[in-house]
Amino acid sequence: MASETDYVTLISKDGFSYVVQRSSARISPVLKRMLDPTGAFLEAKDNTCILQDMPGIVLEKVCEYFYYNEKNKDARDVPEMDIPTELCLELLMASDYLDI
Amino acid sequence: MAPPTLQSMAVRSCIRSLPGITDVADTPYELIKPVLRRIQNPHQLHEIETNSPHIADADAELWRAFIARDIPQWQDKIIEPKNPRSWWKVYGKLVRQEERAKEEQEAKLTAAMSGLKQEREANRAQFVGKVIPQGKTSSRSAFVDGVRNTHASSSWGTSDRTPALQNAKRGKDIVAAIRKQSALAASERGAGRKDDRFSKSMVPSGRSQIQAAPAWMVREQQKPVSAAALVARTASLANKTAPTVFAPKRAAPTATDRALNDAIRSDNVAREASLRALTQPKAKIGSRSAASSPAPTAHPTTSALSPPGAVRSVPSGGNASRPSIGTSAPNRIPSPNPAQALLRKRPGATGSPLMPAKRRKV
Repeated sequence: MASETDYVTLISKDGFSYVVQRSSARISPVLKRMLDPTGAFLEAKDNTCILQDMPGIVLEKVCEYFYYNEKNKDARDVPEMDIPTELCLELLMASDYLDI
Repeated sequence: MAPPTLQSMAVRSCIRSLPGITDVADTPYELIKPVLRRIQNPHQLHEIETNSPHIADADAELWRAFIARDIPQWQDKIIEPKNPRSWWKVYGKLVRQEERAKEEQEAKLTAAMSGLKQEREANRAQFVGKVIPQGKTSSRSAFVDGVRNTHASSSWGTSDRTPALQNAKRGKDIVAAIRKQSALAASERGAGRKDDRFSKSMVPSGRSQIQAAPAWMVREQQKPVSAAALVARTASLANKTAPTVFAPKRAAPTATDRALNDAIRSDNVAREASLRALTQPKAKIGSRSAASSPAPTAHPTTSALSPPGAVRSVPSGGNASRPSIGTSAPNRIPSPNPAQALLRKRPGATGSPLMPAKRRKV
């Protein structure tokens, strides 16, 4: 039943869920492992990752980064993604957690 | 080429908004280290430390960096705190030390500068409102140190034209200005010296500068005088005569001199008689015809003239013995006298060719 769907769901601490493409989510090695079907994680069965520490807005930015990353994989000297000041610290923590 | 990681971007974003960061919450030090390194103000770091104490445990290197930046010769002064959390205190102490040393140096410098300033002030020329009248009048004053000033003009020069005199337009102003200048010049010249007699300041008070005789003089006076010195002294006193002036000596009158004097005297008498004869001819005739007695009365002056009787007898005898007038003329040169022979030698008497013959009035 746990076939590889195209999209995965990422749920934030405060209940926001974001549906992203699996390929994008796999940019983050942590998520990749979580969502690996061969693994024994529960997330793999549901194709859903619940991120307990992350507020919704931060997760949203993370998803945005996923797409930014995928889009600009081959390009050079891409302009940086805009990160608002209030998120930068938390985003830093999130990025460190997700290793992205 | 892979796009930048979210972490790097987040870090950069944090750095961009660094002034606003006062709390890193639970962010581990390692994560936030690149951001914290960029902090300029130690106070901000301390604030972050206060809010996130776990940072204080790890941020020793940051404090070291601050000390190295702000305190000169920090290698000698740095103190390793036992409690890593008190790095902030170490930094504060060092900074305070630094400030105190700086203030001391400043105070020393200002003291040195003020000393220099005082020296400069002493040397600087000051503007004086009123000048003691000595410099300008030194060339104009009549006397300098008691000696007459030859360089100063003693008459009215161009320098004497004071503004008062130049600006004076009316006659009385000119007069007043001239009077003032004269008074000033007179006072300079010492006009008050004339009133020495009535000056109260110049009365001799008996108190002169000399209080006593000089010691050497006293000693000399007290010394017993030697005999030779005494002799010399008396001799010098005796030899003191009036200064001799060379003058020809007046010797006793010789016979020649006496005879000459008598001759001169008689000659004078004769001349007088002749002059009188000229002035009073009629009286003379009348008196002669009468007798010889009125002769002396007619010629009262003859008696007055000739004191020696011997001399008088000659001319008066000549006149009385020859009552005729005609013979009176040749009797002008009466008897040959040795003295009168000498007289005859005088020019004019013998009738020199150069001199006109004496006109003898009849």
